[in-house]
Amino acid sequence: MRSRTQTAALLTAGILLATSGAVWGHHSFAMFDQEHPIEVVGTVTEFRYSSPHVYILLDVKAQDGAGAVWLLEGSSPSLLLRDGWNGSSIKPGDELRMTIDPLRSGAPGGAWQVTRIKFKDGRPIVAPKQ
Amino acid sequence: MRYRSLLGVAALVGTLAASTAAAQWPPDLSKFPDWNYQWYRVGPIGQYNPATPRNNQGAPLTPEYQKIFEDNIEDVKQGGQGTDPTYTCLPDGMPRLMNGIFPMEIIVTPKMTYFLIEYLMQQRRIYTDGRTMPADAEPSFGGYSIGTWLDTDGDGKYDELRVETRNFKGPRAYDPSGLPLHKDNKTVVQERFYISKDNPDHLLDEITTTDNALTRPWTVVKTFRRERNAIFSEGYCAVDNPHVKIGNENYMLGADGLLMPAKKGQKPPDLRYFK
Repeated sequence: MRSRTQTAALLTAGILLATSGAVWGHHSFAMFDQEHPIEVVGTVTEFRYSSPHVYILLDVKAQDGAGAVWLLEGSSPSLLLRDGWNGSSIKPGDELRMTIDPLRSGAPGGAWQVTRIKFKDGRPIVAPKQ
Repeated sequence: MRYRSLLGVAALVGTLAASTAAAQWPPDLSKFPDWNYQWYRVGPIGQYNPATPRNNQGAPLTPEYQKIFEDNIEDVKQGGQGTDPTYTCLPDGMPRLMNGIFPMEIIVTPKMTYFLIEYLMQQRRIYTDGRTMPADAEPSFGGYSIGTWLDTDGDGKYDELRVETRNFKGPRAYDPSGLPLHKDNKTVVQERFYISKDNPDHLLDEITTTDNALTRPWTVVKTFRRERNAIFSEGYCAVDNPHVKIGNENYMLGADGLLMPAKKGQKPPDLRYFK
């Protein structure tokens, strides 16, 4: 699954390394491969605006139609709140395009940041503060 | 039976009356600094020493603990959590509590100063009522903190809070890098809180840690910015934490609630009791 997804993914490591400092508090993010980010596109099945981290459950289809729901770990409600997010910023059924740091193990999981996530049509999830 | 209950009620009323007479409300805060605000970390998130690279923060570790730290870094490179214990929602403890991942609120009263730390809903109590360190307190992750207010410039108002914290339990690390404190938990943390001379909205916390994992006391200065438009949020760690520890290995729970490996090539846990 991982290799198929990665094949379909847009590798943007060179650009993203400069901005890929993960939120670092509750635990190390070393389980996520920050040196090899991938792009995933999929449909939200659940948005868990929870502590200590926010999770997006994203149904990601590979080119052959096979899929898996990925558990994607983001920042925390406390920090997102200050960026204008809330528990309704993302809803089930939303289509997202996300650059994530995948789990090193190859399991369907990864980490994301607010600067690397958009709706599939390019709209920002939350408009940047002026 | 009823007589004994009445006696108990009378005793309680008497105790409350005595404590009410002794306490002054509202307390006289005229000598205390105006620190009753929410304060934001200034500097990188989740890093103990904000003035250094993350994996070389200048801790004068003993050779034994330098080896423990380096082994921890190797484990983390594989996707492990090394010697960082908090990924399962164990409390930060001191001095990590002062990393200020999220804002903290300070409440100064004459006899106690409270730190309400938004990150994982943790708190500190600093006794400033003149007590000494108790001999029989239960060890805790945050330790037992006794503070003293000082008027360093002689203007008749306090401007510095000195705090000593002891009586810990563990495991504790300074931050998610896994930088360890000694397993004997004989840590002593001394702090000086004061307002920056350069910025009246910056509170400095000069933290000196004495610990048997260190060859000498280690001092780090942290800066917090006064927030006049506070936002408060709730963040309990156990609400949704998919990071689990089984044996000595860390795993993750997937979107379907099933166990996922966190490391490349990681073996599943020992399931010998599932038959």
